[in-house]
Amino acid sequence: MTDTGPEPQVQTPVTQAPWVLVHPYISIGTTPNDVEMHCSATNLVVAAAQDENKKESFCGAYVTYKPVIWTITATSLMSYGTAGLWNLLQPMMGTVVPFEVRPDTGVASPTNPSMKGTAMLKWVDFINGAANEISECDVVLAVQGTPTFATA
Amino acid sequence: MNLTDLFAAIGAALKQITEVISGDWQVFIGPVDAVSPPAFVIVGGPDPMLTESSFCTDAAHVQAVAIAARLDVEGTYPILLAMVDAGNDALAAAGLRPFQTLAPAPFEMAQLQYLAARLQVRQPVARGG
Repeated sequence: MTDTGPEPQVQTPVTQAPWVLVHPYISIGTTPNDVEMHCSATNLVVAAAQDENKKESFCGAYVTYKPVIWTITATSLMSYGTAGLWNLLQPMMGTVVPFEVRPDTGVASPTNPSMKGTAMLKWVDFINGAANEISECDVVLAVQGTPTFATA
Repeated sequence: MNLTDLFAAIGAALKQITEVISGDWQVFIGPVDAVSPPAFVIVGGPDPMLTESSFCTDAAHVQAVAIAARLDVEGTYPILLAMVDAGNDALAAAGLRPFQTLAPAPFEMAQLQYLAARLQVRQPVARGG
């Protein structure tokens, strides 16, 4: 048998530089009255949770996962007024609304993928702060069903 | 509000103090070559002057330095304490309450030493968006 040498590489290496979250896009509500709220946010988490199904048999353990549950949490600095976070979000709290999240405020593209869907906007703390400090609260979106991801 | 606006807002608040209106005390936005105490001088800091707060705001640290007199502790404490009280009240009334005031200490400006207390304000300022 002839040695043909190492097999050719067929993998696609990840070479893209890591993404720095500077101006993410967080839109809540129905266009054109949607609220773009990234400016008030201090931290953004778009988390995927999957409960585990574990079965054990005489032949070993087998693990599967239930459908993914997405939760978007934007830790935000509270503000009030016609352009304030509270005034803009309060009418939508406790309801299911459309949303869109992107890593950057630029248009959706392969380097700025879009996540869209509908979500229940959880009620947000009205006030949560110490004396002479800005109130900080979590804006939580419980995604309903499966969101869509697009690159354009 | 940007950093320039914040300096101006602090200056405007201090200019509401009775002694400033009457001309007994002065207010300067930024260091000056010569000052005739009593005077408030608004300067940036303590470091870091700006730190990230949210995706579109920085937390700015600015201090109103209450300068009572040239460095002569015995003769100037009463005026200094009055300036600290009046400055804190005026800034709080304008929604710019200092988060802390440092104890009287030397403050150098234009190579002269003054007795001063630092009223330190921390406020959000706009950054990009």
